[in-house]
Amino acid sequence: MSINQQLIRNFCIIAHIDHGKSTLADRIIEKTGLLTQREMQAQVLDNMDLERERGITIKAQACRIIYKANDGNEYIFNLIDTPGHVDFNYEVSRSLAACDGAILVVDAAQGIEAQTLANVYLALDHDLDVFPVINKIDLPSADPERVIHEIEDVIGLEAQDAPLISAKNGINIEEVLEQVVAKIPAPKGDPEAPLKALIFDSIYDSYKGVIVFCRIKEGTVRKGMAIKMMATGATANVVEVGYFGAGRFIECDELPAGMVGYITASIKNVKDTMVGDTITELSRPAAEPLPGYKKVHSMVYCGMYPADGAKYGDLRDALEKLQLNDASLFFEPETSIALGFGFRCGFLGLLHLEIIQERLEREYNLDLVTTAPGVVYHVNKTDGTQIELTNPSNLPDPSEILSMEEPIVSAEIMVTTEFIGPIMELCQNRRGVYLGMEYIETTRALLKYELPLNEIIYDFFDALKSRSKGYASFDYELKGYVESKLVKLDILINHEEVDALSFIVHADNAYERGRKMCEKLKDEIPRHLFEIPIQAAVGNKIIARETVKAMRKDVLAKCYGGDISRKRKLLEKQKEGKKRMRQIGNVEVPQKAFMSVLKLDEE
Amino acid sequence: MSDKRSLGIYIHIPFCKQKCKYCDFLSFPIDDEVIKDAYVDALVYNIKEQAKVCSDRYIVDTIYIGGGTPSLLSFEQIQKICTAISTSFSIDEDYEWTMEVNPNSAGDAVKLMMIRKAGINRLSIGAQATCTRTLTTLGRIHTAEDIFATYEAACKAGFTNINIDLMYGIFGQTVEEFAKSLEDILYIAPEHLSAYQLIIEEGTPFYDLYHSGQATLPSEEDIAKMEEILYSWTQLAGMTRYEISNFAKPGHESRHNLRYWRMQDYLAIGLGASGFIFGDPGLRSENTKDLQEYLERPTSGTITQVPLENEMEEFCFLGLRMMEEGIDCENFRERFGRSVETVYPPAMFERFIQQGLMIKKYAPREAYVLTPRGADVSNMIMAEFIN
Repeated sequence: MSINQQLIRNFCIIAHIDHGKSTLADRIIEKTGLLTQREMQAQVLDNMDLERERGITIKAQACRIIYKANDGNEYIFNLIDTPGHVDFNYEVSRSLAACDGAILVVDAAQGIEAQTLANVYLALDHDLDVFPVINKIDLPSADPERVIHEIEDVIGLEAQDAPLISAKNGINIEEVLEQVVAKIPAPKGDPEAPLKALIFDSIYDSYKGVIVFCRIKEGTVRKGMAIKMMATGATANVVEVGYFGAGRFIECDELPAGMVGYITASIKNVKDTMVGDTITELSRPAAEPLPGYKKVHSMVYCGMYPADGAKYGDLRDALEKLQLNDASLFFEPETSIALGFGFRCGFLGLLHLEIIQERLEREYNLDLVTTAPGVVYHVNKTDGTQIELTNPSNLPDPSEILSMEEPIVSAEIMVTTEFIGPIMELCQNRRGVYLGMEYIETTRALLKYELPLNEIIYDFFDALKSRSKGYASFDYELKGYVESKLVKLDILINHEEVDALSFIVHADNAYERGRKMCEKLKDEIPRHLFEIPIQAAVGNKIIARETVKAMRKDVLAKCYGGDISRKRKLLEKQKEGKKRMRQIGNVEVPQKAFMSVLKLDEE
Repeated sequence: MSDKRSLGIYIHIPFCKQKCKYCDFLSFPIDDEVIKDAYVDALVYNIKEQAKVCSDRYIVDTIYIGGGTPSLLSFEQIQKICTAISTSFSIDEDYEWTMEVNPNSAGDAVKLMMIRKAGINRLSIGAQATCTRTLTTLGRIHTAEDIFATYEAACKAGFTNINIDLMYGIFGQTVEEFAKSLEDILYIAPEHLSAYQLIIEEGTPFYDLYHSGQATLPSEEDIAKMEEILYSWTQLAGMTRYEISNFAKPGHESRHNLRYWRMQDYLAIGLGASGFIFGDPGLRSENTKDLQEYLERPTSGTITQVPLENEMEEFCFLGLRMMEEGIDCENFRERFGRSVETVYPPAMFERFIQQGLMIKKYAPREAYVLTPRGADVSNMIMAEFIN
């Protein structure tokens, strides 16, 4: 059976978070009739629990659906879902590269947001045909006219005939489908040419091995074909090809140019099938790979330790399993004097970190102690070499350091004009360099800043939200490294340095962070028989100090008659609490103290 | 006679006139003679059933009627209980039999004399304080005069072994107020004094008051001052701090309470009461806490086995409560067939000793005993004895 390329549409939906991307995807799948109402889970494309809870799409996935259009033809729609968070920018770009067009969803009340812009520009960069859809028109605060003008003025997209829809209530979905047919081009590509297939995602299945999600750009992939990944060099024999029904894999004989589908080839490791790589035929390889492949680099690092040292092996197994499905997760063993054996882990961003942490705790039942996340610093040594510093404890002796560089991002913040002041102040506090401001319309502006990455990985989103009453939106991309006045801040508990609490900070902020850190630790560390000084130090200089007073009393005076079990329970609880402590010298420090640094800015 | 094991009996009376604001014991206000009668009948049944099982192997030497407020019972009701005990069990000649009384319901010298005649030879008066302001805060319904009158009546009735309960660290209590209460009590010179620091228990009005910020506790410094006064004045009054919160003139230690701390056998009679029989395994009983159920079936409750390891732990942490006696090494060996240092690392004892929290005594018996500083932080030490 040959497939008519003219009847294929490969597209994705792009939107700012919460503007209704997943809901629209659900409606499209519903309208095309592949699923009954009963089969529909609330949101079909997001299938990890975690994604549903957080309302975001983590892993790109795809779905093949059939649409009988008004012109009488049956079209194959390949709807490719894209992650919606800046941490996963590279994945987004590869998903976009698998598409020929995109539906831009804009909230009829909120209008264009920072992520909307970022995603549109990304889509346009990939030469996608984009058409807008105005969603949530049934909201009382909806103002589609204004939003249409905004889209035309700011993005420069024709929006007069944008479908006005409510994905939630299924209003006007047919119009969206018709526009997909009319406005998104059919794929091109010669089914007879040497194979070029773009990998845009892969998952690990314990029965089938790695399942590669790909878009066939040129040629045809068939069962039994020997294939090669052009960047990683891995080779394999295709065991199965197919496409994506709603929530399941449907096997077929071949995938010709223009199609989106999956390949399995008994590949054991997702590292062999990196997102962005090109699959070609081993015996008849393409001359050159598809453009755009990048090796993903971890942006944020932290130490992860099992709360119970005996669970080290379990943690390693869990990380290995997660890595099977997530090539962007990096980890290597490390040891800490304070925390024992654990791993230094690298992530695409803080959200990625949080997701992994939650999955380890939830799916693998691990109790974790996580050290303060940090970015990768470049340390230029006096001997002319440069090291990439991912763990503050590995900072060379100051005498060997010539200079240090930190990663900088260019950030765009969309904000209503009344909050410009507070947001600029926030960026200023975070060592931002103001680049400029554009007015989107009279009441909204786009602020452009250069910000050090380490200033935004902790709590920048939260601070942004609270200062703008939730109205600001934010997007960034890595710009490069600049030299910076950085110091290592050490924490001493009862005069002992605690390696797991050290972090790199800009010299100007060292005092304040040190002070906050000491205050926080003072609250977290229980009183002991003796007084415990908590100090923050830069080099040999103590810059802040707090004291945990000696414990005066810890006694249960009361006599519960002969009811010993009550007293016993109390002591057991106390003992249990002690087990969750880490011994630093002769001080017992609760696990959560190591994570308290993450919340330094909560006032 | 000597082949019989000694036994204590605890009898719980869950009734009170009005629940105190700090109290989380099993008690509730009841003013219905029919229910009280029914309860006393249930107690009598409970006593007789228990006696059937064990009276031939035991000789009773301590009895404790606690509450609630046992003095809310009429003399006839008290007498019924006493008769049931004395006719069902063999009682040691040298027995101690305590009853808790409240200063405003203990009754006059005549009632107390009858109680004394019925066999009860020790009274425990729940005074808590003599200062009106403190008593009001606590929600106590008696006055300082009630306390003195009750004490006087008890002496007249022939009681020569009397305990008074005091509390300190109460909301808004000043050091002076506590000192005044203590002075008043030491002036009338009871044989025994229990002094407990207030504990704010969940589910009490005090808990809500404290956690909503409506009431503040005395500062740590003030509590320390109160304790300093408590320890030095009781000493001057010729009392020994033989347990973390208990003080007595020589020979007047509460033998019944010592039983708990020494892990000697005791039976539980009455609503929600708990008992313990040492052995391998030990047996811990707990009676039902449901009044209706208890009235219908006074033997309902649970019995749990206590493994030997737990008994060792409890022997140690309870032993440490006794400031003179401590963990008695010889007793430990006798009971468990091994020395305490083979169960817990000698290094642990060594550490506590070095930290000034514990001492090892060799006379009159070999024992580990807490220092006053050790007693202050005893929870931390005791927790180390739990695995």
